[in-house]
Amino acid sequence: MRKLWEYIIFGTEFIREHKLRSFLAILGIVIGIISVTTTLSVGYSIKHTVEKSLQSQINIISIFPSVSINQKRLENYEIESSLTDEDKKVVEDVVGQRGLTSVSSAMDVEIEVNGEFENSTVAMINPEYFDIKNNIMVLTGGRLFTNQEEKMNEKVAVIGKELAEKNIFDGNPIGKEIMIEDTYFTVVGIVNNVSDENEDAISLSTSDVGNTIFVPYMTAKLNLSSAEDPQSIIVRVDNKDEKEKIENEITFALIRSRDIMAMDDIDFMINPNEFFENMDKKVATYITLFLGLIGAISLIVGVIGVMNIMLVSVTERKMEIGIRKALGATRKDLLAQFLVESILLTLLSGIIGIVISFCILFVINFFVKKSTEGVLKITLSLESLILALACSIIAGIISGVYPSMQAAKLKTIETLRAQ
Amino acid sequence: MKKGDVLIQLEKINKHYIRGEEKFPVLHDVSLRVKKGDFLAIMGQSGSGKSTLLNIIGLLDNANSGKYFLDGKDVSGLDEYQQSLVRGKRISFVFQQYNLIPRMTVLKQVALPLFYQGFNKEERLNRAREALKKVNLENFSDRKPNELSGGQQQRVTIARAIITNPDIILADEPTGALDSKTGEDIMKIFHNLHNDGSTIVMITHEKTISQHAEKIIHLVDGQIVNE
Repeated sequence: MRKLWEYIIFGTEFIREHKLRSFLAILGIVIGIISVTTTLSVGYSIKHTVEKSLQSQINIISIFPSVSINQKRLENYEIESSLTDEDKKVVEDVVGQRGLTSVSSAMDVEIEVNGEFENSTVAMINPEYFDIKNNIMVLTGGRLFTNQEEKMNEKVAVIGKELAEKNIFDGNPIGKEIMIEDTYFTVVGIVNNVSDENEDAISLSTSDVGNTIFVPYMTAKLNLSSAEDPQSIIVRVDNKDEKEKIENEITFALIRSRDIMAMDDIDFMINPNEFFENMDKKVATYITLFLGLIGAISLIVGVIGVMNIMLVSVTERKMEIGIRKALGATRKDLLAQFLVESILLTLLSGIIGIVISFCILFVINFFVKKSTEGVLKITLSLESLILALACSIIAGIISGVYPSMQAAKLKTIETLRAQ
Repeated sequence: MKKGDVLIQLEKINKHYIRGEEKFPVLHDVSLRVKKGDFLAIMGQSGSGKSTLLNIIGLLDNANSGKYFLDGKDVSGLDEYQQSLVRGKRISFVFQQYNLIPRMTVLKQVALPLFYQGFNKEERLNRAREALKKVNLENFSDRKPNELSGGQQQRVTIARAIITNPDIILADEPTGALDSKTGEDIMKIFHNLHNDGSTIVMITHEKTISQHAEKIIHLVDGQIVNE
C-alpha cells in the first residue's frame, strides 16, 4: 500500500498548482467560518452578559419612594413620598433571618483632603450593604466598617479605588482623613468593582464604586446637614425562591405601617426595573437569533461558493482523471487523492478562518469594552466555532469529492474525450 | 518472453454503441495478432473504428463480444480495478492531444505512472530523468506543459509512456496535431524505441506516417480488409 504521506504531498502540490481555484474555495469556507463564529459569538456574549447581570440582581429586592396614583390624578407630581428609618425597621423585621437589609442614599459632595478639594459621591449605607453587594464590589485594602461603629457614630469611611489612587491622598489613603461638609471621616478601607479586579466577572455599570465614599448611614445622618431620609432600601434574600413571597410580605407590611387605605394611595415601589430587565433578556435573545441568522446566511453563501468552484472545475478534472486512469490509477487512488486534497483545503481554510475570527473578535471586543466601560465583553463562542468548522469542512469535502467521484465513475475513454 | 512471441491476440471482437434506441456497430469480428517487437500501423478513415480498436487493446474500453488475450492471458473478462493494474504495468499511451496534466512540471508528469505502481520518489525521479534523456528533453524537467511547443509536449508523453518499460506502446494519431517536420522527428523517436525492442501499435490516417511502421493493416467500416 502506498503511503498516505505521498498523497498529502500530492495534495499540497495540487493546491499550489491551482492557486486561484484553491484560493476561491478557501475564501468561501473562511468567510463562512468567520461569519458564523463572529456573529454568534457577539450574540452569545450579549446574552451571557445580560443574564449574568440579571443573575446578580436575582435575589435583590429594591424599595423606592414614588408618587401614588391618587396624587398623580391630582397632578401633584412634586409630592413624592420618602422612605423613613421606620420603613427600614419594618422591612428588616419582615426579612428577619431570611436575608440582609440596608438603606442606600447617595449625594454629590465636595471633599477636602490635606487642603485639596475634590468632587465625589457620598453613599450612606448600613454595613450590611457590603454583603448585599459582594458580587459587585470587593475589598482591596484595609477593612469594612461594622454595625458597632455605626451604632457608635464613628466617623469612618470606605472609599472606591479610583478615588483612593488620586494624588490628594499622597500615597496610601488608609488612616487619612477626608472632610465632608465640616466633619472629618477616617478612611479605613478601599473597595473596587469586582469586574475591574477579575476579568471574568460581569457587573452593571450603574454599580460603579470607583469614586464613591461609603459612610455609615447613622453617622452621616447625625453629622451631615444635607443627609436626608433613605433614597432606597435594598434587601438581599438568601433563597431566591422566596423572593416573591418576601416581596409580598414587605408590600403588606409597608401598607400597614404607612397607613395606606387604598391601592391607589401606595406611594412606594418595589423592583421597578424588573420589567425592563426581563425585556433586556428577551432583546438579547432576539439579537442572538438575528446575528445567528446573518451568520447562517453567510455560511450558506460561502458553502455554495465552494461547491460552485469545485463543480466548475470538474470539467478540467475529468480530463485529469482520464489521464491518471490511463497511466494506471485505480479508483481507490483517485478517491484517496481527492479526499486528501479536499481535507487539506478545508483544514487550511479552517485554520485561516479561526485565526481571522480571533482577530476580528479581539478588535470588536476592544471597542465594545471601551464603549461599555467593561460591562460587555465579547469572547469566542466554542459552540459556534465548532458548528462553523463542521459545516464548512463537510461542505468542502462533499463538494470536492462528490463531483470528482462522479467523474471517476465515467469510462476512462469518455473522460479523455472530455477535452 | 522473447521477440516474435504473440503478445496481443484479438478473436472476433465486436463492438457497438447504443444511442437512444439505435445501435451503431463499430467493430465487426475483428481478429488480430501482434507479436513482441512489432511496429504495427492501423490505418483508416475517421469513423472506421480504429480509435475504438486501440482503446480496447489498451483496456480503456470493453468489447461487446470476442476474446482478448494479452501475453497468453484472457483479459477480456477483467473488472475495472484489474484492468487498471494490467494497464499500469503493461500498456502505455501516446495520445493525439498529448493529454498532459496542466500545471504539473514535466519531470513529475513523466514520473506519475511509477507513483501508481508504488515506486519510491527517488527512483521515480531518476527514471523520469532517464526517460526524458531518451526524448532529448533532459533540460526541460521544470517546465510546465503550457511552456512547451506541440512537438515537445508529444515528446513528454512519449517519455511518460516508456518510463514503465511497457510491453506495448499504443499511439493514437501521435503526429496528428503536429507539422510534418515535427511529425518526422516524433516518428524517429518511435523508430529508435522499436529498434530497442518496444512493441508499438499506432493508428493514423496519414499514409506517409503509416509507412514508418513494419506492418500496416487497414480498417474499413469496422472490419480489417487486408493484413
